[in-house]
Amino acid sequence: MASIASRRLAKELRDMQTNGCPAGIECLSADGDRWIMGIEVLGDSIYTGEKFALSFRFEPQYPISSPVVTFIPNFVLPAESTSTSFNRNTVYTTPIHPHVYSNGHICASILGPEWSPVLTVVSVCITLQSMLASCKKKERPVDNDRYVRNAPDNPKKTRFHYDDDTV
Amino acid sequence: MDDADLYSITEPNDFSNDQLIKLDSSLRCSICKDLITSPMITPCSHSFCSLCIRESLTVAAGKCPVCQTTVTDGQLKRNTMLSEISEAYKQTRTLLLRLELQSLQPLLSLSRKRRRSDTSMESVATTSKVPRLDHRSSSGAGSSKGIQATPTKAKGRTMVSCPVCDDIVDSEYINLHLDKNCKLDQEDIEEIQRASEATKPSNGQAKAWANVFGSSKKGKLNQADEIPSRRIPKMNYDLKSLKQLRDLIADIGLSDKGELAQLKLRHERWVNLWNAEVDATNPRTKSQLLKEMAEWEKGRLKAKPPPKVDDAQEWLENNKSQFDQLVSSAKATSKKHAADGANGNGSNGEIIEITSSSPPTER
Ligand SMILES: [Zn+2]
Ligand SMILES: [Zn+2]
Ligand SMILES: [Zn+2]
Repeated sequence: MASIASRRLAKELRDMQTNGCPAGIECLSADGDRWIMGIEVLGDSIYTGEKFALSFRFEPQYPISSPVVTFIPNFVLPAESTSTSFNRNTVYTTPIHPHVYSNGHICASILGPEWSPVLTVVSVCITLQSMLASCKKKERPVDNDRYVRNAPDNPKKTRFHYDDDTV
Repeated sequence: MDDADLYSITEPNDFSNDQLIKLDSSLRCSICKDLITSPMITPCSHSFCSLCIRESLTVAAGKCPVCQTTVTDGQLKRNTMLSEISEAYKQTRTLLLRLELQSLQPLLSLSRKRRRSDTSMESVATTSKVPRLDHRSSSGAGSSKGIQATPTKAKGRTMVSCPVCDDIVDSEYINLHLDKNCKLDQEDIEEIQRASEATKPSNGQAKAWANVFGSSKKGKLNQADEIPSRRIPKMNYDLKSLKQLRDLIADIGLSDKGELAQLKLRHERWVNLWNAEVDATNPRTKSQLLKEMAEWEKGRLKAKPPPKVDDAQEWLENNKSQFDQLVSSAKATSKKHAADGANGNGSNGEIIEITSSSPPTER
């Protein structure tokens, strides 16, 4: 019997292939327990025209345990990707946002204590997309430099404070 | 995960009929997205597979994954009727798919020799209608008639379509079906199969035989055929010493290697697996559960991309409601969280590095 995580992931992937992704969301690569999703804020926003790459890492207990999700700093589209919306010669970076650290770590409660196993890769992307869409001013978190200096590799080991209801 | 597993992946959009898509998705567990197995209902009236909700409550500190209401595993109740419905549905799903496919592929069905060519045209025209399994007795029917349809596999049996009435029946019963002038339909056949199933040696008898054959071995091995019938209570691991936990785990027949955190995780998983099996209609034996534990231990993700989706499946796009649901569930969980007490995801014994990152509120 296949692990619950791989079955569930295969299901999500198949769902994306059959039904497509919501507007502004794209699967750039899905290699086992590491996926890369592309997101873009559509409509009027301070991020209009920008695209971002999100890294998803799944533990064997997914979806019981939340995926490890970060924005990828300095992302270049892999050669094998068939994406048409991401440019091959462009280096994509992390969004400047009060909840996104420059190392790509994201302070979003659904990636931590408010994760629920009914959520999916696509629903995480939708949430992050709307987190960006609702932002009014481009700035890094106040403690960005201090955090990035000592940050653990895995943001799930960070105890974030969620004091904002836009995330 | 091998390819066979990937091919066994099903989803509501395998169907094209709106109502069938709805039926299929309503019988799915929102955690594993599979057809629900051993459904349990929470006090907030949400149903999940027994194993899925038990695993979720172990990690997510007692919250319903859908509505965030506080739930403890002691409050879970078996959802008997849903269990019966979903099991019956699993048995019928392949047949339903096939019937739908037939109604959508006029060329395929018309190329066969058909007696009821007029009525078949009707069902082709109205693709949203689910074809009925209606029966006409035919005078010319006889068991000497050959079977022309291509056989298809369904749940381990071979299904063929009857050359006289075009009904889909189990190949083993096609002659009987013809002998009965097409009055014996697949439902009747399944009843016959169920009846013969019931006369097979029961679990109890099988166990008795196992005891006879296994009598030369010591007691512990016979335990492997034990069928989960009583739930294991949740344990307070803080009250157990490492040695006690190790002994307990070894006693079950699990590997007792590893550190405290690993042993705890392994035991928690075993308790959930066992208790979910108590909830099952046809529980597996202890040795099967031990095997599944071994798989789980290997626990390495080897997900490969699933097989290319067939063109035939691009029938209807019916996902809008699904995505709307996703958005609303994502929004529901993204509500304000208290600034204090957020404790990361450390419930599985990981070290939490505390940084006082407190992003400012939007202005
Ligand atoms: Zn489930
Ligand atoms: Zn609920
Ligand atoms: Zn017939």
